[in-house]
Amino acid sequence: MKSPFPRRAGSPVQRRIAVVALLAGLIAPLAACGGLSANDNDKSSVSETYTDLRTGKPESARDKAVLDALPESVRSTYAGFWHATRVGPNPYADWKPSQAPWKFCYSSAYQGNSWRQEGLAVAKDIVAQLDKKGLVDGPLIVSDANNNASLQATQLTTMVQKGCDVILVMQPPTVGLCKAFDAAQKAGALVVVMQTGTDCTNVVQSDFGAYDAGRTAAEWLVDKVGKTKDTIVMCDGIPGVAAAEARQAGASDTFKKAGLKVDHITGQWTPSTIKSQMLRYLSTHQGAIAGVWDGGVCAVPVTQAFQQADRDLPPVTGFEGACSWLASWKQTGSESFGFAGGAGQGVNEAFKVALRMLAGQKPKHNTLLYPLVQIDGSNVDEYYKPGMKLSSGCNAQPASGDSAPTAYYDDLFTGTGTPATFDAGLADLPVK
Amino acid sequence: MTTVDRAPIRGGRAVPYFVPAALAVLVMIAITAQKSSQFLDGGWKLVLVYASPLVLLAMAQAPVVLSGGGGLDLSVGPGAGLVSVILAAGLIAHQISVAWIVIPAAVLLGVVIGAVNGSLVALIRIPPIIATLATYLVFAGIATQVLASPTGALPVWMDWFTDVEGVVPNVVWVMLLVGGLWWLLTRTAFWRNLLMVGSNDRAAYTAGVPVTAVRFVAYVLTGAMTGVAGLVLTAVLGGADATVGPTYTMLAIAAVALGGISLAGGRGGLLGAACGAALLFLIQNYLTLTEASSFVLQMAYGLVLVVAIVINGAWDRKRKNP
Repeated sequence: MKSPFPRRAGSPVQRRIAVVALLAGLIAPLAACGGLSANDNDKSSVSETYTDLRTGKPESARDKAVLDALPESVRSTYAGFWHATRVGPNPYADWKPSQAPWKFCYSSAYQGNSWRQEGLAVAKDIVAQLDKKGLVDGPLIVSDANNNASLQATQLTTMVQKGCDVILVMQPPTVGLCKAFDAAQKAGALVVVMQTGTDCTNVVQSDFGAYDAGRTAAEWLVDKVGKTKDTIVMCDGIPGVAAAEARQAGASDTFKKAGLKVDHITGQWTPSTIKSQMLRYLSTHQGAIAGVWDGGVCAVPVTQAFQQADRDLPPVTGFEGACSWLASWKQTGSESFGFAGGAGQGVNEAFKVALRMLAGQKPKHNTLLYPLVQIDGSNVDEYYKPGMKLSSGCNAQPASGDSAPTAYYDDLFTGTGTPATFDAGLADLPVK
Repeated sequence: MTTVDRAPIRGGRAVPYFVPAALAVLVMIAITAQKSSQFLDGGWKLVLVYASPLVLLAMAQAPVVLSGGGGLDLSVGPGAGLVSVILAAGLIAHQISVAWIVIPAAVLLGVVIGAVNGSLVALIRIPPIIATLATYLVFAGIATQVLASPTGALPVWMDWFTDVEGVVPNVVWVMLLVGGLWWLLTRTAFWRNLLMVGSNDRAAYTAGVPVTAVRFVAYVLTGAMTGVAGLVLTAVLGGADATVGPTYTMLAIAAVALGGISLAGGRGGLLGAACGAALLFLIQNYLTLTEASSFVLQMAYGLVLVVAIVINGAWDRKRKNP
């Protein structure tokens, strides 16, 4: 290969020197820029205050210390929190809420499924109710980033420019938005991240205890199958996604403790993938299957796979309480276990947190985890409705209207301000 | 920072290739400022910080496009993503987090990525779109393998890149540094060779220009800038996420076309690419301000790209047949 630099540019030695100088010119100033900081060897200072996000890793001494320091009433819900989120002090400790009316904004990472649509519908309804009380400034500002972190950051920045007082963020990416959250916080906006963990420590997080939920469903399955040498199949979600890993960690720990043999299929929260994975598993594993644990969206396609393969249907758990799962339960008559985990309840809990803070209360921590309402054989009739079909896209909501009773948060907040109230209307959501 | 290739117009005057994109950027700034009072009051700084990975990747795309022969690099997005995850999961996670190691490592990783692409295209002679599509998939796969779940633990010094307290965001200095080094390169004979190869590689070969070497070096330069973009991407994300990098590829190519760089090669420079990327990001910002859906945004990107390519093509024809 001939040199791209013609001879008239100098001798070979000179040319090499020029190339080296060019590379050094690129690297040295950049190194100098980075070297301006006096804390080059330090990890981010927030790491000293907040626990680390340690997805898929065992409990550390620090995680245990934080868990032990939590109020007894919430401790089991926070079990395994490090798989999905970070816990530390309230980043809004010095924040003073503005006076009503407030401008509410809703930033969604993605809106392209019925679960997300349901969450937005509930948010709009709550804002409309608050508006009637004179607490809202203008309509709910909504954005959909179509799973583009950069776009969502821009959307958050423009929400700040529009003067949003409260920004509810539905399932943002784990990293990528911290700078935008920081700008929102500096502008005086309250940012509440819903239904997922985030690595950002400058927001308030409202989520259910994913590890606890995975563990609880697994415990039901362990009770159901008893002592057996048959295999439990875990239907996992998307590898690496903190919410999926946390559920799986809770289940794995339970099955390990019970001494059960476990195999995995990776369904990636996609029904068609789950069904094909389960069919492939059934065709290659002729041994008895004791039960199937659902890491999300699995119950119906797994049941269909067993039916298609003409194999006996073992106990199969559900997870998010899909209407299609309830319909399948009724159709097969096979008892199951799941949660009322529709997006509506998640939005409901996030608004409860935001309104407490707007009323002057302060959360003790950045992350507020709550337990999901369980659906089992004793209460399934409260959740199943005749219009539910295998093709339904809705999800079960807590029969009482709340995942966590209002008093649950009393141990997680300080202050006595009385928050505005609303009826999330979860029972009135359409079956579709 | 760039070549001032002038297209002849009526009366014998000439317009530098990047002027239309630069004017469009100014127009978008004015429109955005009219829509949002906070945009000029510091809001633009954060917008620019978030636009910086795209701007740098568009700049990175320029050398290979300029080198002609259908030159383009589909792997710039996953390449930057791969650099990002290797920095976060390979170095920083193992306590190797000092700037004087991380920054050169980013550039060198980029150079390696560029050398792989350059070897496939210039030496093995695989068409650029196929070669870089293959490396797109390979780099994206490796990134996911290296870092299955996002991580956010970064050293404090990386906050420098996203700091907006100064007159301009610090990341602007990175762009200017890259542009400045590129400007120095345009003072060398390599730059003339690059334009000659991009305009007509046969004529360049006949004239004794080492076409293969020029194209290989163009990919290496693209890789080096991809490395810088990967570093900035890590800082902007506040961590690393293997899924983010690939989303930048198409926008970076669109930005190059939008910036007035001839996709046939031989005309353009980094300034045009940067203007094209800034324009795309400003369009995104404006549509977000108007609460347009993300699907409208996709359509807007597509329409703008078609218009840019048509104008580019017309300009090329005019240049060749004045």
